[in-house]
Amino acid sequence: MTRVSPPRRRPQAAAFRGALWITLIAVVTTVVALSVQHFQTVRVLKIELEHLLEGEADALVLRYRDGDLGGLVSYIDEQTRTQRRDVVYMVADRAGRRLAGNVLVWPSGLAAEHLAITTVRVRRGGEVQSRRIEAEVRTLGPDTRLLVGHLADSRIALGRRYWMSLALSVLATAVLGLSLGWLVSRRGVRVVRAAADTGDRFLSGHLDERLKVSLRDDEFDRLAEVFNACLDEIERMVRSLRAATDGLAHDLKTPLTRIKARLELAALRGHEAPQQDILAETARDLDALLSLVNGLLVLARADATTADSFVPLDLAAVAQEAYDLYAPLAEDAGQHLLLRLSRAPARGVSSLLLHATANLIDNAIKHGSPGGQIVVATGIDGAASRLTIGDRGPGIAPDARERAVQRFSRLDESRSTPGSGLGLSLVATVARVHRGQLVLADNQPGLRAELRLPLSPDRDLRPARAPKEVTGETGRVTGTEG
Amino acid sequence: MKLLLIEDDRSTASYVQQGLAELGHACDHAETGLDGLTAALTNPYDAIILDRNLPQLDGLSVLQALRSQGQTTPVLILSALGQVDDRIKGLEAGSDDYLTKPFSFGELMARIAAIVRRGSGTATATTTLQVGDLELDLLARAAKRGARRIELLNKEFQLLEYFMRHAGQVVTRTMLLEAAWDYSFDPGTNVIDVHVSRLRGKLEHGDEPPLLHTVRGAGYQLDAR
Repeated sequence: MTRVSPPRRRPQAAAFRGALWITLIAVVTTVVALSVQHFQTVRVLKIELEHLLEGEADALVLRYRDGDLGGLVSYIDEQTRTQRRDVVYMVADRAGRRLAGNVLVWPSGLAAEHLAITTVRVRRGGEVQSRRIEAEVRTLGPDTRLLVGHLADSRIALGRRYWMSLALSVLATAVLGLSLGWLVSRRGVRVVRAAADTGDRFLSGHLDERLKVSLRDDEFDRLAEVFNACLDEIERMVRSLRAATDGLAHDLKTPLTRIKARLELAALRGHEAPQQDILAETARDLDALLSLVNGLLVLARADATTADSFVPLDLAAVAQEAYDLYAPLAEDAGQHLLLRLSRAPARGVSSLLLHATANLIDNAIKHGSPGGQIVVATGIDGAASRLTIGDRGPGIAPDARERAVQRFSRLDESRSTPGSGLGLSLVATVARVHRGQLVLADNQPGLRAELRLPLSPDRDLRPARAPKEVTGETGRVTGTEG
Repeated sequence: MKLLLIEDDRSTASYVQQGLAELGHACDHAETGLDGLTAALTNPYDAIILDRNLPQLDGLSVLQALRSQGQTTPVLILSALGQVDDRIKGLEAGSDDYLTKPFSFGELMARIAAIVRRGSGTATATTTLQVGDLELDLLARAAKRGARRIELLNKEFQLLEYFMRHAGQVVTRTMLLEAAWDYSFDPGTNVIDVHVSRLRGKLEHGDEPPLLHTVRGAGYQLDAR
């Protein structure tokens, strides 16, 4: 396979970027979740501790009021000896001298009657330690203060555990996120890479390369469909260009050869002989050449039409105008042009649609049977507005219908009939740029040409894939010509 | 008539000059836009034939310069650019007509005659047109020849109005197409011929003298000869 696009320096960069983003999002989520949980827990614990300390302090105050300092001191001594809880006590006088309890020195600055955290020296189990406590203070009398505290060990441990678990979670998330994210991103990137490879093969000449469209019908499939539609369009243009070049070469060369031959003949005849016949014939050939070039220009212009030049219009009005133009001509040719119009709204370029309609009527007059009817009808048919022209002539065989709309194709192999072979091709092009289609069918007898345009601007009546063959009884030929 | 041709292609220019001389008209030739503008501003001409793609100064700029100087000499633009947009641009810039290359000499002459006459004619709004015993009432949209009323279809009325406004002049098929139909597409000359012959059938009954004449190789002429 020839690769058109150069190899990339970092072929996996997009997948890696995707994985990184996924990981980052997961990490942030984890951190937020853990933190919320932690701070909620801390808050609940703090409230519980407050209640505990307040209860203990209030009980001691009551005990002091009921009895006296001695009873309180002995109770506190009792409590500190058992050490069954993490609670510490101190009763001190105004100068901070200890009267009872296992806190040795009154923490400086601690006076307020609410929960505070402070560091104190405590005697526990015979050792003197410096510990952080949460403390509640009560004033017992003018000279006496009470401190009830709780060791803050569990709080500190909780905090440490939080940081630990945070670190572990982030690590786990990062590892999982990077590996899973890598896998997921690679799936998306694989689609992109498939598109790039398909495009590469297409550009290197395999015009039938297309992306696979899965059954999932998701965004990737939409991308694949649009991508394929672009490739269809390019393939169609390339193929029609190839076909057209052959036809064009023939149609240009024939009259040019004739002109050249006639000029040589004129030179042979010399100055004296009359040249009127040569001049007239050459002028006729030149006219044909000019009209061929004009036809090609019209076709090229029609092909380049985009939806921004569309206006709302009614095919019935277009048909009426074409009728006005061609009715006298049909009558002179011994045919009856009949109108059966009803409303057929569409969006489009009216001059192009008029030209297409005129070509269809012109064809019907040229190929219809003498004395026959040509019916021009418009109306709404499902999601389409239609303009139908039916004649009573010999018609076109089903297997020749697709070829009939190709550029420069004339069903008469000898190419001796007048006409550039661009008429139906223009109609098909006009149908296609209007997102519609040209349907050629059997009029029993004769040809029924139907121009179908979408009723609403967001509909597209063009076949999803340009058909390579004419299907069924009616030849749906739109999109095969351009 | 005295004409000025501003055209950089020498063979086209000499072909036009020879043709005009053949018909007895004088024609000056300028090869660049600048020379052409100078000539047009210094000499009086009956009409100017102006190419669009010119060296030094393009055709539309020449035209705009002329018009901004108050020059009202009729101008016919001759150009290979024949799309509707191009024509509209040309007409907006102040040209009186627009002819696409390749052109026939007959077509060119017919159009020059038309713009020269239009330029000298009075600009008053008319409500009735008269050629011989043929009368067209533009307000009532009614036509009659002598005492005989003529029933006209819409397009026939438009065609006849155009013929009567250009009575005595050669009117080409393309001019008719532009006048009565959208000039964005050419249905082929025979379509126009059929319409004109219908119109003629309605204008000339029995032994009435002919009004609408065919000019071989050029077009038609409405004239009460």
